[in-house]
Amino acid sequence: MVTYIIRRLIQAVFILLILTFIVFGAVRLLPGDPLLMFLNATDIEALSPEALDQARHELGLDRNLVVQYGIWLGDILQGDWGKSLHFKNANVLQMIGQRMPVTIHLGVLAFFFSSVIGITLGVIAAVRRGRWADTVATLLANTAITIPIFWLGIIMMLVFSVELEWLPVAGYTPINEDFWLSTRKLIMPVICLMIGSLGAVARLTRTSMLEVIRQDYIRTAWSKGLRERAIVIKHALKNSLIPVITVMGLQVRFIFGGAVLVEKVFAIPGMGRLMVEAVDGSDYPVIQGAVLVIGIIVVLTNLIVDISYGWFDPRVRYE
Amino acid sequence: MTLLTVENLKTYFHTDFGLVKAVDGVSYEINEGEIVGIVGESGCGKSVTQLSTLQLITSPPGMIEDGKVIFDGRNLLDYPANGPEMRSIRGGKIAMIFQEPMTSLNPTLSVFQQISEMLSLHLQMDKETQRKRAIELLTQVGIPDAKRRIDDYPHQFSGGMRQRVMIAMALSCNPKLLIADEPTTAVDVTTQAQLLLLMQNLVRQYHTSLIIVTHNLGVVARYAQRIYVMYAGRIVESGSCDDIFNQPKHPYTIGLLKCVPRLDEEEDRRLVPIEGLPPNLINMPPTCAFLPRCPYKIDRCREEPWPALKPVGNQQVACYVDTKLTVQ
Amino acid sequence: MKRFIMALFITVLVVGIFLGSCGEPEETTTAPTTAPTSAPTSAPTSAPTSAPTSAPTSAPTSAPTVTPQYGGVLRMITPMDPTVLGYPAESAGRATYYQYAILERMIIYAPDVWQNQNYQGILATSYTFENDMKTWTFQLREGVKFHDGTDWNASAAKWNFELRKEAGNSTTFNSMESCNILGPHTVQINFSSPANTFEVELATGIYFISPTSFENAGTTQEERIDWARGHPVGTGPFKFVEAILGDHVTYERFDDYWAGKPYLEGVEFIIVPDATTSKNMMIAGEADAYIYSEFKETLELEAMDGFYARYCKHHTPEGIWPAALEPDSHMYDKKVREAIEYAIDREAIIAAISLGSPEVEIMYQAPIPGDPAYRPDFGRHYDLNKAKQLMREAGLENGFETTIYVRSITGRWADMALFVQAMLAEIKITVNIEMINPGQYMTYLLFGWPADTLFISGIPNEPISNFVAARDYACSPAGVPKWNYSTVQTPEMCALWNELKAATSPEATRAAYVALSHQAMDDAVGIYMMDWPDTAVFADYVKDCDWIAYSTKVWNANTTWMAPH
Ligand SMILES: Nc1ncnc2c1ncn2[C@@H]1O[C@H](COP(=O)(O)OP(=O)(O)OP(=O)(O)O)[C@@H](O)[C@H]1O
Ligand SMILES: [Mg+2]
Repeated sequence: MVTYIIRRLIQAVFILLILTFIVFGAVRLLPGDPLLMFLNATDIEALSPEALDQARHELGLDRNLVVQYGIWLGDILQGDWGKSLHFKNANVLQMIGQRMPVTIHLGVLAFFFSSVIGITLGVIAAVRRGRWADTVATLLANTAITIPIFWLGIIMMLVFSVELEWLPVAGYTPINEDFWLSTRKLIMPVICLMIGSLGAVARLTRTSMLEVIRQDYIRTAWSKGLRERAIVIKHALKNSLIPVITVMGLQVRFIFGGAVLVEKVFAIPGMGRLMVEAVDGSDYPVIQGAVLVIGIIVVLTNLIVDISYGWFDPRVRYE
Repeated sequence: MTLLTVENLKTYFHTDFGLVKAVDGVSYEINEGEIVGIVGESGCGKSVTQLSTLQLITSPPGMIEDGKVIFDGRNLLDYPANGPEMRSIRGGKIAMIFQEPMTSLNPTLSVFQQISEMLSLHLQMDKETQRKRAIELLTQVGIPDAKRRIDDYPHQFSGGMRQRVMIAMALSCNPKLLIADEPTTAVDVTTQAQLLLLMQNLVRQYHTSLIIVTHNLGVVARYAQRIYVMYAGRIVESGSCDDIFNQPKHPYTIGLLKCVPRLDEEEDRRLVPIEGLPPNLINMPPTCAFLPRCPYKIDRCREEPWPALKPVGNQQVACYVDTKLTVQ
Repeated sequence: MKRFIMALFITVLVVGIFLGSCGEPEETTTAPTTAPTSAPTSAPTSAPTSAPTSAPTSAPTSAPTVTPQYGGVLRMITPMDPTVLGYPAESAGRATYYQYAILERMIIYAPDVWQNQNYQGILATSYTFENDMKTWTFQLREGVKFHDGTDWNASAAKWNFELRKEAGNSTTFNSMESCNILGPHTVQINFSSPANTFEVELATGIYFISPTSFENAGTTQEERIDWARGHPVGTGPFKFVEAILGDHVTYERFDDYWAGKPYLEGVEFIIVPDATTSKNMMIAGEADAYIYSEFKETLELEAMDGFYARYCKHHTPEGIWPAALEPDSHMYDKKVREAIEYAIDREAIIAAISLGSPEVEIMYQAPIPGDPAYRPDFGRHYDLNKAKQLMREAGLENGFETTIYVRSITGRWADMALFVQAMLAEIKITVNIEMINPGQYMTYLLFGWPADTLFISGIPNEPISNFVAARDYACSPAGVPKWNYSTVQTPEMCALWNELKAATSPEATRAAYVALSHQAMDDAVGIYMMDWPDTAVFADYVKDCDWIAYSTKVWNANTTWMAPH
């Protein structure tokens, strides 16, 4: 197990190197000279070509791509993630340090609730197969998958914030500042972010659960005199979650993707918006740093997913 | 003393293809400490009968339409399927062993977890006692090094071992009745013999009654005191083990015996399988279900409905033909 | 299991009800009722003594019968993050408005600047220039303090000018020869060449920060600049508290503000990128103002009770520009440029995209009515026959293919491009539409557009238009970069441009500007389409804000107050 994890981590390092290098090259192929955004000068005549070249040189943008990448990598390893070209006094590591917890807060809640509610719905639908609870749960799951989240966000905002005034329209408050305000602000964003995953998880759980409750060992469990709840939770659930875990691992990626939209709609200062704004403004150091961090998170969650298989299914061996 | 009496049990499956009368008026009984065999070809309703006793039929599509299951003086079918009364009987008073050792244990729970949940449920044992008892049980059923292996998962055991675990589990709460539904079908012949011997010893030791369900008459011959022969959802013959073996009365039983190897007979006896296939239980005709395959059939069989069981000597037989008099 | 499901339902219900019951709108502000002891003078009272002589007016809008009240934090939604806050040598771009309430300039535009080209004094009470506009002398306001408690005086002014020169990114300051302190509140600055855009620069981009705070902020200049970028310390009515990118920027009242204690306790900018969300926040009462609002949401909010909108006109006219630099390109031919302009039906386009608002006005020329260069009768109005005729004369009756570049920052430009595409098809010009991002736009704008293309853009404008004309019609010598709005460089225009650059008096500057502007119109350098206003929406209880009263670069933070609500 330990060797397995070590090997996976070494693999992860290579994946991250390749990922960041590709992004490094790709952003430089994007049209738009970051230098102009950087200098942000209105008085263009004062910017002689020499001054431009000088600035370009200082930022290292005139070097060979591989050399630039090497320098970037070296700096990263020494803890210097560079500075934003756009927000000139903003240190990239600090920016990410500010934004990442926000997206993680949002993402963890979305992941947690999409998993818990999705699995619950799926289990209810499977156990009550063909009854009204199944119909309702399946309908909810299918709606959840197909609902456009932008639209959902706007509708919820109109209903719960503008009309009923139950929830704040938008914004973010850190959890340690004011727990209730923070939670109330996050309810709608989390619903938007989790809704698709919830549907997918619910549907998959239902299918997988239906498969599991037909198994012989469930009959054995019944013959032991166990209650339905014990059978569903102890005997069926763990088995039926094995395929669901894979999908939940993928959800981490979808959550980062969804965060782009949700953070914009609900004015949440997270990674999604940071990334989009950085790409728009050709803010190379920010793009690089964000890609690295998101890459690390995705790689780690994959690893966690793979390891958690072992917990769910003792037949899995790590070699 | 009669422990369990099943009367006129009817379990039907309402499928998309039609009504399957899997169990159609089955009656049998078992006394305390007795070993009884239920024999029949695959698909004749043996398992459904046993599952019905414990109301373990999945509904839909299955439905127990009629009958009584009298255990300890109470009709079990009066209780709701998954209600507290049924649950206390399952595993506690009546335990079952299933025919597929490879799939009947939960792959994600350790052997200990699977045994201990019964101990805490029916005997309210604490964790430590559970562990001791589980190790004891596993040792009893012949799992070597039980102490170490108790936390292993089912996939770490062979088929025979798993069936031993199943036996240990089933006997863990000292049930009054053990139903073994083809416990040995999936294992090799040596293991088969070992397991049956083990079960025989254990039920004697605990004074537990045992129903052995099998499609192999040879298996029950050595262990059972009485035998019920099932065909297409009904009992077609019953009697003591000796009587059935020595003077089978029903054409189906006769057919069955022809394909059982016997140690006490001349070596060159030909084993003859019964011709034809067991019937499809969907939309059965009212006449005797064995009719199409029966070498003894007479006109009456085609004209009248399936005969009820009636005493013939010491046995009960459901047939219009006196097979003794009939020349093949 | 049934009970388990019930439990789940009940939990959901309970949570819902609980949230409902504690969901009252948050308490926002406390409006103290104590009447102000002394109403602050809302605008500087002493007039600049030099060229622009008209006296500055006092607060341009306010209901005189209502007494302003102290208290409250003004919460303003805005879509943009601040880029640079406290280092004046670097422009904050469009997000300059973050600086208004904190940093101050020596002079600002007077409210009637569009009509009369006037300024009013803030940190300077008067100024004079002489020696062909090379020597400028400023009389500074006395009794002004920076937020760190230090004094605003001649040496602070000199230090700020030198900081700008050191940065090396301003043509004007690059030619600064010396800066002398003539008295505790008198400072003189000498340029090597006529600084005829200096006034505009002073009124728009030259902010003053506290030398003391800056110097104490680090050991190297780099460190100090870096600190200043995020920590503006000025003389304005509000002090900077914090800026969290993507979230909020907060200011608190500066009690020692020279024009009197401001009414508001503080200002909070809430950064909200989405317009619908912004609108909903306004309706839900989560903000008091929405600045740089989207046009559609502005109209929607204005139509509701409880809000009023402000439209800032003339600030960013929008138009279509041809890339006509290459002599062998079709667009180099004035006839082709004229044909394109005649083929475009501005009225139809604007009727379609202005959402019925009368605030969007059609433009046919750069100067607005009232500007000295405005020509009432000028305009190439839609005339398809004339367009076809001109194409024939240019030998292009079979048309040609071109690309129109559209920045993807606003949907209306994409709509505009579709109209242009359809309209130019009438004169057989095939238009491909290409969307570009801000970075790409900047690159083209600075290094030039691909030959024979068109692009749609807003053109940053200033009330003192000679500044804009000098920028837009620049005939820069080879090697000197320019903003490529207009790429037409006829000899006539270049001569007039050089004249403008060399003008040594306001009168000469104005004359050269008018001549250059007229020449640009005659030469069909670009197609001005419309005056698309910058917008802001306020809750009714926000008073005397004067946001965008005469230029987007001014709002009177110190006169703003909120009525009880
Ligand atoms: N869930 C079900 N749905 C429909 N029909 C069923 C179902 N379960 C059992 N049956 C039918 O009931 C009949 C009896 O099945 P059962 O499992 O009792 O046979 P069996 O005698 O135990 O056979 P085997 O020796 O193969 O175990 C079969 O014909 C089968 O098709
Ligand atoms: Mg069976």
